[in-house]
Amino acid sequence: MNDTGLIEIDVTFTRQDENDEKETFAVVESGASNQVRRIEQRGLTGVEIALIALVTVQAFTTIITRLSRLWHSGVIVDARGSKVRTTKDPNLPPGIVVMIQTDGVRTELHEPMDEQLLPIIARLAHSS
Amino acid sequence: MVNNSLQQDWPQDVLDSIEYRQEVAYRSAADLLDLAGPEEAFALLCEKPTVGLSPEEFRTYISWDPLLSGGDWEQTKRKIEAAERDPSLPSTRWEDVQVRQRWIRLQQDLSDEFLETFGSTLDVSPYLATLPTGDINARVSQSFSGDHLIVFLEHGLLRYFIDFACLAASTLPPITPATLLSDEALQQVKGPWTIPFDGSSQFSETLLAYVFGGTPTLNQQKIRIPGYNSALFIWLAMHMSQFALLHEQSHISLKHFAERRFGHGVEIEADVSAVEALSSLNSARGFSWALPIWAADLALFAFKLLDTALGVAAYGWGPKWWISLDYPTPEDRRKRLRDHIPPNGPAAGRAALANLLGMNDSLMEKLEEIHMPFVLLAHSKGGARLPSGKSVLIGLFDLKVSHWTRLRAKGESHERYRFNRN
Repeated sequence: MNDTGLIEIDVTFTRQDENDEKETFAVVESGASNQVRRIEQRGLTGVEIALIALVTVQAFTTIITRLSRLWHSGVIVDARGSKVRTTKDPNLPPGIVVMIQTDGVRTELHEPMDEQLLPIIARLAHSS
Repeated sequence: MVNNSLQQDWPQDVLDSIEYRQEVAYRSAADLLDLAGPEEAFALLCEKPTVGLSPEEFRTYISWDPLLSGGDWEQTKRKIEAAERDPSLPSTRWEDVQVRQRWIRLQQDLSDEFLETFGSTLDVSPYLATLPTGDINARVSQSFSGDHLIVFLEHGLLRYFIDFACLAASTLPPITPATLLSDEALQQVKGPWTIPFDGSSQFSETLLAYVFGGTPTLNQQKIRIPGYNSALFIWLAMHMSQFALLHEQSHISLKHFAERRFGHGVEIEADVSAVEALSSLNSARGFSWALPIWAADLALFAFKLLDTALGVAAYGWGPKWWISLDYPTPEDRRKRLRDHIPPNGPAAGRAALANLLGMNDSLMEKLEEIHMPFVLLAHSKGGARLPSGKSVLIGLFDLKVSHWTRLRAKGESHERYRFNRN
């Protein structure tokens, strides 16, 4: 969390099609406190998009809740780096959210509600 | 055009973007290997012995004594010696300088050759950085600000090209260094050719090792290269690597980023652009026009082979659900590249290319047919895990094998990562 109480997040996903990208962008943009930076990566085997934004704890909670219902796979939220990184994990069934705190402690939730996620994300934000 | 990778001062935005991505990759590596953190993963994965061939040994090794002499040799020798020196270029704390230097040298050599031949360098020369996973991949990424472009080269990509070029050299008929330089001579390479037993068995072993063991790290024990085709090995490895690098650079020069163009069409455009640049360069320098196109076809065949083998290992003959719908398969790219072979190529070059592509179809694809059932057999015996995504799968196996190698060096066993052949 920075001095203004905002968290810098990185939402990275492999682009399946145009609609997939638009929907994810809309979710992140709806909670962002600044303009969302869209970083594109083209590889020999596919296109990956990273969305970088500053968000409040409350807004990030809503973003994760919505992504867990939008993406057709599980969601990993990892707070151990310089940005809180959110990615799809095809190993996990849809609806599962795994939160990794800065000390590596993991919490797994199934289709969480905002109220369940908020205290976890608040802890995660204060320790990052 | 200035080669950005060779500048002494890289923008902070570029370094920050590289450092962030590399740290994420090493942290994932640490998770997979049950290590304490990214620092330990970096220390583990970047401990590599040096190659250790002197320029003179290199010259003998590739059988170029009769072809590379006098001034040409002195120039090449200076380049090899310069590559050995620390270029003191900016790096992040996570950079594997040794691997990056190979790619920067390749990029710089290409730029120099374009300048000498056509009077102008490549349109773009993005910053180069490496990533540690065994993923067979390269990717162009925007920096955080969006103002700069960075090519990330996975360690596994170069290793796979080197290994695959070895396998091709072990499988194909003898092609002398002099033959490789001329389209007229390459037309004359004729069959029938019986694939040597050694080549066939190495193919099988390597395919199974990549699928069930993962990408070996650079400088680990290499596949045996037949002495009669060592020059072929060098040329193929170089042209396949150049093709991958120019494919990425073509995404930039063709404005795919600027215009946000996606889909199958832009990948084919990048393939065709890379191949046209390499074949016209070779031809203008008096070398074979067909050779780089042949190598590009082999590179795409190499991707197709691995894709198919990974799919079979995970699902038998089931669907490859992890492949993005937004992206063409290697086999699609191969077919489309053949459809777009530059029509203005020299007649001798086109005849040589038809001959060489025929060899790919008859010999390399035959090997795939022969050996894929072994992968299926291994799958039926439970020899593979389900992939969580292609890149993750390959990266996972790469890292676990590296870890296993380290444990073995310590005298410990790690049987669960070994492929069970019984």
